[in-house]
Amino acid sequence: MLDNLALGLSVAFTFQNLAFSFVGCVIGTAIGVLPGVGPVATISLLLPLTFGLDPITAMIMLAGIYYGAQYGGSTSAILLNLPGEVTAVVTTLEGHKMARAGRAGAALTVAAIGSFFAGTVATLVVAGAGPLLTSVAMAFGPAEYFSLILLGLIAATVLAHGNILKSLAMIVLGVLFGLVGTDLQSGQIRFTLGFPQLFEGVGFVPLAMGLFGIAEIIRNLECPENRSGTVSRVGKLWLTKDEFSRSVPSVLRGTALGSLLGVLPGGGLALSTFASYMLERKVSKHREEFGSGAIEGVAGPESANNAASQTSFIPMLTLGIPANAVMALMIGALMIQGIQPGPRMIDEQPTLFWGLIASMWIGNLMLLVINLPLVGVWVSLLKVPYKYLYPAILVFCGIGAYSVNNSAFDVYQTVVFGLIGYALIKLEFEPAPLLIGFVLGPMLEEYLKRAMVLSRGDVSVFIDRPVSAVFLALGALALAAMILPSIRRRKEEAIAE
Amino acid sequence: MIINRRNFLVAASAGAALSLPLARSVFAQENYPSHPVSFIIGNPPGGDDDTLSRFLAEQIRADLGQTIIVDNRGGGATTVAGNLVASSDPDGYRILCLTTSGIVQTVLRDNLPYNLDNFAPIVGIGGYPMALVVSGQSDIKTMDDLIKVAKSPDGITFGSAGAGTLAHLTAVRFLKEIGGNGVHVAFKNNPEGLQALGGGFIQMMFPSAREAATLSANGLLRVLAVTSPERTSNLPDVATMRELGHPDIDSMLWYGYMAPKGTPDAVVQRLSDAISKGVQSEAFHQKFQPLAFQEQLLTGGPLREFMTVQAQRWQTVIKENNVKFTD
Repeated sequence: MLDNLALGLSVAFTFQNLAFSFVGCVIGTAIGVLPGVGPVATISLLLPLTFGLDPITAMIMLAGIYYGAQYGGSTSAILLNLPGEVTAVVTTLEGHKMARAGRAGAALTVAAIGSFFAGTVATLVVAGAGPLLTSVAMAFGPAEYFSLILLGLIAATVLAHGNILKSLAMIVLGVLFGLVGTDLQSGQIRFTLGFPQLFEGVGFVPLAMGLFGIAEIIRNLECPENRSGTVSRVGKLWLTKDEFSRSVPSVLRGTALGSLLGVLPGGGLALSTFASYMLERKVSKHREEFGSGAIEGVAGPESANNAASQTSFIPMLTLGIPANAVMALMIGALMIQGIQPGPRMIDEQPTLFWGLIASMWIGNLMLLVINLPLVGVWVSLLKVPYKYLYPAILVFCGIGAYSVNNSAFDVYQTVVFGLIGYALIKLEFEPAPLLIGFVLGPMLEEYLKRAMVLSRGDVSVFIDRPVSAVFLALGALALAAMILPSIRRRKEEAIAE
Repeated sequence: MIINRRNFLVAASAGAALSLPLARSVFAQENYPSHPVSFIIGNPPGGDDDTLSRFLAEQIRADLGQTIIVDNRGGGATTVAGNLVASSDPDGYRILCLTTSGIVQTVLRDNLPYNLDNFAPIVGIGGYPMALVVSGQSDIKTMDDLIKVAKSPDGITFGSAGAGTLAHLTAVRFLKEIGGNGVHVAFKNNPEGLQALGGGFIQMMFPSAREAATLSANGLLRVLAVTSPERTSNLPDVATMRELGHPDIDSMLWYGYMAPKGTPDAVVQRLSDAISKGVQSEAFHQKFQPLAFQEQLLTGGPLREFMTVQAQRWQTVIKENNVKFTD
């Protein structure tokens, strides 16, 4: 493996490849920071440019855009409470709280370092354990996915800080929003209120920008002291010793979780950040800080997210199956170059295969090099007075929402969700569980239907399959652990009376 | 950021330009095109319609002497874009990239505000054939094996990227022809379905021949037939449906360009010539032939007939199998 990696590094380390990796990472970071147009649209716009390049150079640039976007999303999530990608939702929870407490620099730094470490480990995982993890992913059928996602949804109640009932309500509301649009299995159209724009469902970008970004702006404008002044003081950029030592175990845990879950196409990436956040909240020694800016809540999920985006390459490299739309485009780009992605690539195109893997690591290094110096620049954004910052954010949200489908309807959606988000803040409901319900709910339904259609309506399929049964048992345990203490408390109260 | 803003500005300026009242005079036709033309794509960036259109837009720019803006108007299962072009000024500046799913939508949905008659067809360029594939793990090795399984009391399980997609309707039509029965399992997209197929969770699927070629090379699945009239360059050992005695199973992921009804003939002709030349160019062949793109240039009467036949065919399948959707 080391020989192969050395071969890969020798291929990837040319001036041209490094230059294109740099360009890709910069473009990716830029589109990641701005919510709206994501890596898929950007890559397809730039695809014609890659026709004239070496296959390896083309892949290096496209992969750079992909990692860059994953990484850039966390910057706006931390600084402005604007999650542009599903994976950045969790980062807003602790990251933005840290920014408000003057620790934006630390949050951005730990995100960059954690991502780099996770990316390095995950690259080795891709190189060493790809085929093994592929066989695990292939054994995941609809029943296993259903039970895993159900476990994720149950655990998502942990994301809210107050009342369990309220967070359950938010999850259910999110699931309902997620069901808007065409049902895959029957083709029936649900809850679209007659708008053809909703046939494909409510967009993630309008929903997330509305509930988080816009709602937060409205809330801040309520307080007169927020109308002048700035978001927060800038504070120290680097991590304190204490913050550093607290982050290390979180980064390790996040890396492990992300590397495993990333292999599962359809949901693995999103689940990895949620799972990491929940894990950190359970095992952290500073549990009381969660909700007011715990660094573990940034370090873990950010590492998980980056590890998962690397290992999600595995199904493409070992089977030729793209784990997401970005990979599908990369496969398209490879085929236009006359290369069939898949296991035969290792033998037939070893320089390309190992070059690509080496370029993953180079891309991560490049992101670290680009982003660490930028931390200071980003953080200085917080010095911009509200009266300039807020209109600017609103304009960028508008452009971002519009540009996904070139549709004004999406801008209106953003406004509506902004108002809903404001109402939720006023009623003290937290939006994070809603977004998780929105992302996982439709998947839960789809996998449930698939499993039931395949078992011809026999529910026992979820228990007969061992992996699925284990996930369900864990879900039941989690539920019991949440409900039992409150029952016990009530009993004790009754006895005391 | 750069991309965001540029897209926005280009789209906004194109929109502004198009909303100007345009004199539909002979003078305007002779000068066509006097400003940028938009290709309206019914799907978000990244699909085959998008890739083909972007490539063609580049190819024919010099010929038309104007920039071609590729404008993705996803939504409504391509009907947002369809409706936009159908209700645009018939001046040749807004052109729809129509797909087979776009045709299917017009017969699938009851209350669409437009139909195929609202278009002036410019040119059909051809498309990608589909492939009948089974899991590499399964015992199904030949078409006869497959027919036996499909005729068994349990039938065969088949996947697609959702009800009403061409893959779904093609499987339904095929099962009817061989007298088998099947259970349809919908996936979010083809790759998810193909992974389930590879893992042996479902038995049969109709992906594009291009997807099938990649995955069969990896042993994940077995390709039993392709739907093109001739064998494809990327799957030379796979028989065609015609060879196997099913010439009617000839579904194609097809692409064509449409102007709004009432567009002057001279403008349609100008665009049709330019696009045809682009498709026949060396550069286009070099990029898309290795992907088994089947060139099939159709214009005028034959194109209209092709579209009508497709619409009628899928309407029959939809009616017979009761897959009609209501809002």
